[in-house]
Amino acid sequence: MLEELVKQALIGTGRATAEAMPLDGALGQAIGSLRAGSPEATLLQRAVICAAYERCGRKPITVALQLERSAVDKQLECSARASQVLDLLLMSSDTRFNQQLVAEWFGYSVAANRRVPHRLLPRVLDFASTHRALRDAITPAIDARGEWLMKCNPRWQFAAAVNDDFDSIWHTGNRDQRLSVIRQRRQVDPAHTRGLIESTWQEDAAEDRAAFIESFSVGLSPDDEALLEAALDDKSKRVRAAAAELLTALPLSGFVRRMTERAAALLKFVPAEPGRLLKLKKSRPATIEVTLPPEPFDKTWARDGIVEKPAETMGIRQWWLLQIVSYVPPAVWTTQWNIAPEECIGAIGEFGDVLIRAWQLAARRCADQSWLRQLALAAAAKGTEKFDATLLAQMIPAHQLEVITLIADSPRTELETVSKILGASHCELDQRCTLAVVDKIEYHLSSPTATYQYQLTQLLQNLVLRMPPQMHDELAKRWADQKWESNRKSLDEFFQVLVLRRDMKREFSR
Amino acid sequence: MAGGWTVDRVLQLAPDPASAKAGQGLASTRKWVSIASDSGAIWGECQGSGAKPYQVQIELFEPAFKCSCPSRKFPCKHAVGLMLLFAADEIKPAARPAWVEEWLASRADRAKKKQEKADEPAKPVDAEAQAKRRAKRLDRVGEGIASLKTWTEDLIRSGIATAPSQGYAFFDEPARRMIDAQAPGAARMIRDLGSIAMSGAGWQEPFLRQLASLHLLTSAFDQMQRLSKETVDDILATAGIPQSQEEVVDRPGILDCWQILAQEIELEDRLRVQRTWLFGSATARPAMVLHFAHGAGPLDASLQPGTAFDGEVCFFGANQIRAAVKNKTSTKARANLGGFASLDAACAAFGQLLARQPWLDEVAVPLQSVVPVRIDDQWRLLDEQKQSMQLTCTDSSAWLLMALSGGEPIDVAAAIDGSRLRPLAAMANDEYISLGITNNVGV
Repeated sequence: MLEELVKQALIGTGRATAEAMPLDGALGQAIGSLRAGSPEATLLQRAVICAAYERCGRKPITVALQLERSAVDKQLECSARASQVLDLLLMSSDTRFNQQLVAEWFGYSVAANRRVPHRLLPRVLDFASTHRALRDAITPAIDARGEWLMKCNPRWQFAAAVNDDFDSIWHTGNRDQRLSVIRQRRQVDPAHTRGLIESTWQEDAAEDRAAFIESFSVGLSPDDEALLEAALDDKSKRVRAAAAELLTALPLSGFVRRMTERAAALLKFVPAEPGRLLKLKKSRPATIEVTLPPEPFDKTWARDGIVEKPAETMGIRQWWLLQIVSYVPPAVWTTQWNIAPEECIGAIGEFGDVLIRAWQLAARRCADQSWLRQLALAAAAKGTEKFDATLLAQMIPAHQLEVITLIADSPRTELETVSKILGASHCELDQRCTLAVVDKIEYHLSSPTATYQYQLTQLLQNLVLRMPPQMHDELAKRWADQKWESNRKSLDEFFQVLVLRRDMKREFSR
Repeated sequence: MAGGWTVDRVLQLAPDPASAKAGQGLASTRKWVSIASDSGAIWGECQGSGAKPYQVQIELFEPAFKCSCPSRKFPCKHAVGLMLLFAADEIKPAARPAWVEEWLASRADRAKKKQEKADEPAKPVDAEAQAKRRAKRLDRVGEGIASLKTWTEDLIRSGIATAPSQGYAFFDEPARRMIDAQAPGAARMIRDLGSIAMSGAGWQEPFLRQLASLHLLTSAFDQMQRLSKETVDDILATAGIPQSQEEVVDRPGILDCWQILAQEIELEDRLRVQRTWLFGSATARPAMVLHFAHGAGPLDASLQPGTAFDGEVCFFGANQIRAAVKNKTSTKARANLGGFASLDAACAAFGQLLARQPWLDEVAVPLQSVVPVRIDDQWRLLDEQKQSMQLTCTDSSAWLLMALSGGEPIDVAAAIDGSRLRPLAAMANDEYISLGITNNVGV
């Protein structure tokens, strides 16, 4: 009916005359009772009546549908303040903190066995679909209602959405996609993953090959040796270096055996000799005697990743020494000489600096915790200024904390150094360590020249996510003074994040 | 949560995103020298950049805000921060200090004076002069409306097929003429007509409906002398001849327990328009209260969605849904969204309203025990009789409804326009959730 009127209206009553509308029922009656008028008025009046008729009489329609219901949630909903905090985090566009804070929120909620309130589920699932790394942490807290929603919305089916045709991704994907295949498959089926890499080795670009080799650092096993050993013969220097690094972490590999043989001839441990009073002989501390590698450069070394020409200003034979020792797992020395790492470090003499650097590299390559700890402590004791923060990355959290506390405690340490080591580490800070950093900040602020400083902002950003949140109240009291005037903005941001952390921890521990 | 105040709700009060953000920055007890509340008010002293802290106070019933800071935004960031702390249950009860007592007393005083003034016999109005002014204005509107009638009929005579290619200017010109003729309601209808023409595929039928509706206004205006007082009110309201709020609340109102179903805020240029949807529990009467604010000015905060109040509401016409609150005698913390037991009943009620007032656009209704479902890429609501209607809303609102329901019936407040439902809010597990998402704030 209205359709017919629309047709007439489109053409215009000037061109086509409105036809009589044969209609019965109420609508027909209403239209029939219209007074005769111009064709234009008649059309518009009819349209008004039809439209009103339609809108007044709209009926819902019956649908046959088997309703799928969500199962009952197994957990209790989190507290009102806890969901308020999550609400704020999901709303915010501040990416510097959010991901970590959301992860922390879910850490607490899962530990406390509390679920997300229903009203936040869509936003939580949206967040999980864009932050892959957090999915596993989030999943337990969405409970039955969340799982039901995931089933309803294809966009949230991230678990099932993963394409499992790894072979075809491997052959057609870009580097990131192919790397993600290695990451996903390496734990499940390492042999298959190696097979994939070998299948395209000849065609792949050097950068891709290096990236694939580097990705082996996760889940490295003796089974990888053959492929890594073959990579030592690669055309690309970067591929060769990557393979050598990883082989160092395989203590039973041929590579390590060859390097150990080379190095054994260079280092000799001479135990301490106690002095003898009667023979008037002075006591002598233990030392490591170093014999520099002989010239000329041994061509077989090059194959194992050793570079002939120094990359920095240093003697050529010292350069070779540095490289050879850096490819020997440090545990080799402690076993061979039957002494502790700190005794080795204490026994350095001539070329000591070279040895320390070589050991640092080797300890990082093997992630040797006792060596890393002793090397870091020794480096921190020697001077915090030149401390190589990269040592921390592979250390277990407890050791990191020990080293950070030591450095922050030292009165000679600059604010910038503290900021740098916090940035390079990833452990949670305890109260003791936090107070050391806090003292450092206060000392810095008390200096008459302290103004707005980028390092301070950075340090606060590093501190706020890792310090114990319950220290909020104490710090809020301590840092309420005028000293903060020129750094007000950084401090406000610091407390905004800290109060959220304090509250989520408190809410979930009730 | 404190007195039904949630973060969302507090942030909605903020006059702009900057204030919302700044308010969040102040929602930490660290910023406050003192902070406390009692049953009727919250107050605090906030350390700003000056030496003396700002005194911030909020009267909770209205709510009303006062702050000693120089900001012209209202409520200012300090009040927003204080409200957020209140919503987070961070404020402990205490006895009122003198400065709060003083303010509340002066407010009560003013309210009393206002009441006294209202109770005084009204000044005798010069009825004759008023009628003269009104007649003059109606003449002017009448002239404009007459020209509009010609315009609509011309359009139909030459055919509407070319309307989309005419551009907005084609509609702006008659709309401006209606503004000059003091009929802004008609002007808005013409502008909407233009938007429909430009809306792309499927514009034809809605265009004809809107054009016919305009034409109906012009014909009705011609015949006003023969029509009932109620219908004349509808015609004048549709044309946009204003009635003052005071004049409206002077009339006898309708006593009921009014459920505050939902609130929407729209931005029209620099003007913020707040629409609050009410529904009378006993009378089953829908109502809509409008409030306006320019720029960062304050919007009314006295009607909190998800609550209900006993009181009197006055309408702008017997068939109009636009209304004003005359008084509130008591408030209830929880609204009851469970109004219509079936979609059919809701449709029938809408039909009744439309039959009396043909220019009715949409009204909000409470729907009891409905389930949101997705059928063939369409969002629908399903009632207990397995009857369903299509929803018109964003996907994120629909998913929120799904999350709240989990396939089980929930109570929903929705706007109905005779073809579809636009969901506004839901009540699940005794919690009121607005479907309008405030997305403009950050930590």
